[in-house]
Amino acid sequence: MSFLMQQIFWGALLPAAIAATLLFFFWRAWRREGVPSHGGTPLALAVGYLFAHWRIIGLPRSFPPVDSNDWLFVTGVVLAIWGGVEHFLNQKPLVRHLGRLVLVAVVSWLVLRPLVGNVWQGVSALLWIASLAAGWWLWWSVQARFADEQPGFLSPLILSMVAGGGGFILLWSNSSSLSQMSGAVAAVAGVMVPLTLWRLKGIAGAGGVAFLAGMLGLIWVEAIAFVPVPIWRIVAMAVASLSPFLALAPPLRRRSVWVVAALCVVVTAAVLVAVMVPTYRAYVASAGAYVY
Amino acid sequence: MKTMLQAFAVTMLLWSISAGVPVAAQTYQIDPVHSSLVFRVKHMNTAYVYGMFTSMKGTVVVDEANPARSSINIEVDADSVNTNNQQRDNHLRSPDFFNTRQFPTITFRSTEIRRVNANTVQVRGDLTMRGVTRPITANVTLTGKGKNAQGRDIIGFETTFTIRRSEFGIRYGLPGLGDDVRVTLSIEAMR
Repeated sequence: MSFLMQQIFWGALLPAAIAATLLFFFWRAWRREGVPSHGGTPLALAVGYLFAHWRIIGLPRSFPPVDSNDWLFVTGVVLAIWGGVEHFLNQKPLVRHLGRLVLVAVVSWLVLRPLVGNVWQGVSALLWIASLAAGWWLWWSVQARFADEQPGFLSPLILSMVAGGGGFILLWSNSSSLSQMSGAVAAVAGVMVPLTLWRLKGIAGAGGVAFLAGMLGLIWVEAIAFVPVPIWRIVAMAVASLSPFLALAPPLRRRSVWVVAALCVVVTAAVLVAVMVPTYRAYVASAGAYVY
Repeated sequence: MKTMLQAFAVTMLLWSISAGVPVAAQTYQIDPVHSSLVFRVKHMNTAYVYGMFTSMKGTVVVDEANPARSSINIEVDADSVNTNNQQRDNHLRSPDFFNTRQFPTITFRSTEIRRVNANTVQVRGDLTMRGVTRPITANVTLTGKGKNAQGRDIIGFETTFTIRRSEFGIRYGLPGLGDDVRVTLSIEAMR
């Protein structure tokens, strides 16, 4: 198996298969109990993602982690638990918002603290950390809001597209490991789409999106802080993920779900391509023959 | 009288040398312009790719009479990595490899030095890279001594050793990009 195929197999295909198997297993177990939706989704997604992390980056070398890459693994574990909490607190949006805020603030501080003094100095360091945390929290809350309004296949579909396209943008921005972790998020989000369309309607919703948006948000924060990827590319990816809100626009509310989904896919793809093209050109211009 | 004092001083100096009275260790500063840190790693199990770090500083304490009292401290600016390809250098600075924003320096601190032969010492020490400290051992050869253009004392050393990058948490691209990294360090230090 070639190097590239190995990375795809261990970083996307197998994680997607693991997540799909667990999603199906949890769905059957809960269905026997007569529960239409369940809090097992974030756990299933997290197991798939953490498997990819183990194969691509490796297990954390210490606890608490020192290295920024290791925080991606530990945060994945935390988000598996938090996603379950968000599912069960579905009717308490204020508590979920506040919990998310605390989680984002704590993780941002722990992950970004080593850059204080090295990269950012004094007050500017605090402003950077606060801004990145605020952006992560805001974007995650927007995604959660849409998942609450439309708990179907559209949220995981768009998040999968953004994480997958974003993977290429990160790859061409000098970060293969973050790119591959973004690809892993895309893979586990992607398997939710056919499963939701098939019979597992209860797997979508607050819990799963909490894991996906939380994880993708941290990948983007690390990309800005540690690589560093130009902020506009990350902002553009975040904007691309907002297309599901088109479904809430009054003129589109009466349209078929397929028409709305197709429109969201086109808008998201257009924004992603608009970022990918200049990113790829910049990469080629400075890479020469370097392709890893 | 003056001649007698001079004779006495010379006599005492010769006596101190023959009696093995220790001469003070001499501290040299690494000259980054005339020092090189070169590494090589195998690409896709095919050919070796070479790179270097262009910025380093540190001190070398030399006690020729008693090498155990010598020491080497080196600090390398990880951002100064240069492999003759801008994109690859930026990639090497990223969290895939050195993660230089979080870990801006690579350091070596000697812990034990012992003489092997007239021109070679064995140096044990701690190499810290990407936040991981591991002991390494290398034979260091004295390559020369003299004076530079400004008349300052200079001394040169060279060593070659191999590390496993995975042991320092740099696992990206394994096994396509080799795990073994051969490092050659040539130092000119002055005082």
